[in-house]
Amino acid sequence: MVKLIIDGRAVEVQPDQNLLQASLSVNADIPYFCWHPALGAVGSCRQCAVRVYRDDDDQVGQIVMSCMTKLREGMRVSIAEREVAALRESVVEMVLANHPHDCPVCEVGGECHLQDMAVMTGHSGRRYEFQKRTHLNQNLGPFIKHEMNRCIGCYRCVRFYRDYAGGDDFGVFGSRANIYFGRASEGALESPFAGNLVEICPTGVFVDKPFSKKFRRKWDMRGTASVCGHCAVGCNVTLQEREGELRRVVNRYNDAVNGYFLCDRGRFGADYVQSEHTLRSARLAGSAELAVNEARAALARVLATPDLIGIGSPRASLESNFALRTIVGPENFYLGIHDTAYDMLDVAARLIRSARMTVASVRDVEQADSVLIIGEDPSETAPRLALALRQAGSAGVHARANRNAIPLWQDISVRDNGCETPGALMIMSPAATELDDVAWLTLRVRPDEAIARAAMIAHAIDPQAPPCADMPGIMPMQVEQMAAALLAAERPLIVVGCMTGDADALRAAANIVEALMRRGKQARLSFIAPEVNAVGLALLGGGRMSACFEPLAAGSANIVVLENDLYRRFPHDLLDRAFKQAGSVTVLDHIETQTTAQAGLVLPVASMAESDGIVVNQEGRAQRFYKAIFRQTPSLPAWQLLRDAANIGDWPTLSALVRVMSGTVEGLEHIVEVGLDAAFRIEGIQPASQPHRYSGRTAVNAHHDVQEQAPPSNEYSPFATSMEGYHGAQAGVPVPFFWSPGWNSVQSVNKFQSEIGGSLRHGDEGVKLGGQDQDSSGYWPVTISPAEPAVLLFIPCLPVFGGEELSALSPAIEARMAVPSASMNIHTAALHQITEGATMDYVTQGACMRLVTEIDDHLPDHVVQIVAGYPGQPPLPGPVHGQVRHITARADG
Amino acid sequence: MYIYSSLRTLWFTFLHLFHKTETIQYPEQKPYLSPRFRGRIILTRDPDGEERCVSCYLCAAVCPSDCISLQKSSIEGDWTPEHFRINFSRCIFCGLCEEACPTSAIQLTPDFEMSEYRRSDLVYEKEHLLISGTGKVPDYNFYRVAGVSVRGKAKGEALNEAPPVDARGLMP
Repeated sequence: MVKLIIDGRAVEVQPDQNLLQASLSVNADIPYFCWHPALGAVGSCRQCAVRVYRDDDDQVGQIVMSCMTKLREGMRVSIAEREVAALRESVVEMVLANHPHDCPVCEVGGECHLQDMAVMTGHSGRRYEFQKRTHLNQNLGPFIKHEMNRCIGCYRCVRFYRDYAGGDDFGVFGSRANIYFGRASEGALESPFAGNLVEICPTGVFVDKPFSKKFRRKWDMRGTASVCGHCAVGCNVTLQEREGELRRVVNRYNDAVNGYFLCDRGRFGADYVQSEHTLRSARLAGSAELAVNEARAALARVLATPDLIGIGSPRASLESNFALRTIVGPENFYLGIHDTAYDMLDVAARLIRSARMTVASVRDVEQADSVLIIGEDPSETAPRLALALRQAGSAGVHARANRNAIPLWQDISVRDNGCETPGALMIMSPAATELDDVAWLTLRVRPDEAIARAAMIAHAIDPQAPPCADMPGIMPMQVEQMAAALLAAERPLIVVGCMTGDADALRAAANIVEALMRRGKQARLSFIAPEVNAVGLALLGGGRMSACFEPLAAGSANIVVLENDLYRRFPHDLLDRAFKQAGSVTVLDHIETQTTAQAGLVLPVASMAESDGIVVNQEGRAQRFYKAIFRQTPSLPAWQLLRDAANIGDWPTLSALVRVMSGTVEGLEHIVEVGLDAAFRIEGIQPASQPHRYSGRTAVNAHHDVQEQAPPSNEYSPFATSMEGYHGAQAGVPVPFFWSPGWNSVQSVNKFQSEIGGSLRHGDEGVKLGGQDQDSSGYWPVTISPAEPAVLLFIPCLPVFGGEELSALSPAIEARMAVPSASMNIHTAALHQITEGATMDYVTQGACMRLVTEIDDHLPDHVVQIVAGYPGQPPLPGPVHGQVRHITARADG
Repeated sequence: MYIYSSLRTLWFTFLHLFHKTETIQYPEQKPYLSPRFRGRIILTRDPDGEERCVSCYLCAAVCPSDCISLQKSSIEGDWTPEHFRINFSRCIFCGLCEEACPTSAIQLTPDFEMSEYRRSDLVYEKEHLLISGTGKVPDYNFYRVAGVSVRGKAKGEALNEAPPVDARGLMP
């Protein structure tokens, strides 16, 4: 710790910070624009000036930019000194000289960092009388609205977009007073992290476009802590609601998971809860809508039958899955995921339970200094994790800065200082990934070849690891090089996911981690699970789906499907057959899917935004989400619907169910510590979820009924649904909205952190499960099943926008979905006489896809990458062999 | 002392007989109310006849009885309110909404005759609030000074604005 004297007050702060960060951490406010805890300091806005004195005798001191100033023991600083305060005020005045007079029609007004800083410096009157500079705007796509007049030239946007998130289609143009932040030509921002510009920009240059259409000021929306439901990273989000409508999704800081940033799929993909695809009413096949009571009675009749089969879901909460599992019996409960994902999740669940294996959090990923990615493209399956991997990619840059004693917050100096070689990232994947530009080694190999190399690397690191038979085309030197890079690191990380479609990839990855640990490294594993609660489902346990289809073939079983579109996962003919043979098919879901279309009885249930529950992310972190949207005619959460229909008395409340679950399921013992109990009170009062200046209370429903309605109640959450209750940070209470006096923008998160850019003062959300199995050291057997040579191998590509089920139903995401296509390299295309742009039939077992062909020379020979996961597309759960057919004239006709 | 005080009071009361009378025969006779009287709330238009309200929500935020509810239009670039509702059965005519309004759209008028038999009749929608004129502020047009482009006004055409910069220009 370093001792500082700020305006006569003695404080102690962490040494590795700049003066601005240190002052903010002890509640000494200095206005700033260009500095950001995650981006470091560049000293471009000149706003954070303070006076620093040389020693105790110095009465004059000198004015410095606090963000560019290193800490010194006993440093004497003045923020309040008259001259430096006047300087800061004049800087704001000059920044505002060209700022347009448009706060009333700016979506950021009221939560604007520029407004806050203007108030903080005390600037109030405009003296500049000459013309204001103006700019033309660009159309930046369906996510972001551009209003360049508001720009104050702090450079945060380019620093985030280019330096932090690795985008290259956005930049700064012009010179001196002309600088312009935008694209070379109009068009959608390509980076899947562009949405963060809304929170990064200190003013309103970049605005959330879908939010603008249902705009409300920050103080007018109820904030609810939730978890993003679009991938297994489980980023913490705040859902902001008003009048029963989800208005927008904003980042909720969690140091261990998402930090300051979200991906665009999470930010703009939540509108599926109120789209045309939302399932609102119950129905029987071939008949009209069912009334609520009739539907529940019908469900009760189904659940009373003997031959029940329950199919769970990786996108439903742990509670709902557990309720179904209990009702149908654990032996009749199937996980509802494809067998390849099942096998991987089975291994993943064992690794999470193991006390020896450390599964990396996103924060750990960011801090890894050597990373090997096996057969996965994290930028598609876990975008937020890919952003963390990109930061890990600059581990070499940080190492060199450390060697030259450059503080890591000195952003430009650190970048200009160069990189230690080799860098940190090694990628083995069949197709090019978004992370290739920060990787020092990229190998374009088939999944089986990637697994073989991984097995060899483990063996090269520790000869006790199972060896792997030689495969043609693998250079031992390359394997040794990768092993050496991992061994040279302190905190190596192995990343693997489901794209390989082979549980051996995960076993081989676990073997590398084990081998590295035996060599004394602090090695970690990151497994990219397929969906939001896939790991939770695996920890809960159940049968594999191939086993489920057997009793179905015997006939007459009654299937209950929970929030799962099986038609996205299994061949359609197989499902059609199974459903025909089944006694009855009941589907509980919150969206219309192909499965609900085939079901006999369909019941609407509450989505994640409309219910409370727990999901488990890929590192085994159980996180609670709270009910955010209150409708006039709400759907019940699935667990409650099932409980009432099956007449189970053990779970009067959600907490009771969680207690039962923690007592019965091995590995979920700590689940009772997740989130807040509904009975939780602070000094006897509920925490409030609306800001205290929530408006329109007595007019909002006055056109229906002039008598004011009571605020909606939620029996499963401790949060008051109104502004009445406890405001402010409390231990264990997820923050419904970040706000602090004088800090109306998202920058107010500073006031909730124990140190700036560190964990929240009252602890980060979530409870990490697992780690209880002691006897789990040792190597896994790895078998390589080589792909057949010279036969086409179809590998799935799951685009960030459209490759995920729920977000694809969101209008903003829909606008960014491309036409599905198939890619192969030029040799493979020539071999099969395919030309670029030709529409071909790509045939694999049980599915035929008519797709436009693209040439991508990154792909290995005989590999076809197929864009999968779009709504209505046949399932492609992993790499499969297939063939390509020319469309005959007859087929066309 | 007691008698003196009583007599003095009687005397002053008697003198009132000769004062100018303040009572008027309402409702046959209407009182004069100054233009800044805080009565029924209206929404005004700018000198070009366009709606002044830009849905900034400041009136709703400042309203102590929370009786203003509005919603910005869902059309991109359009900031007029989709609905604008004032529940006059809750309004306390404090005038804070008028003070907060950055475009002079919401104004209070010298009309106080708003009695109704049903409370629900005191809920005014936008069509009841919007008038055709500019109200008390004859020449203010927010969009003429604000830097956003709206229909009929491109970037650089507002008051005291330079034409848009050419980011590709090479001139120093």
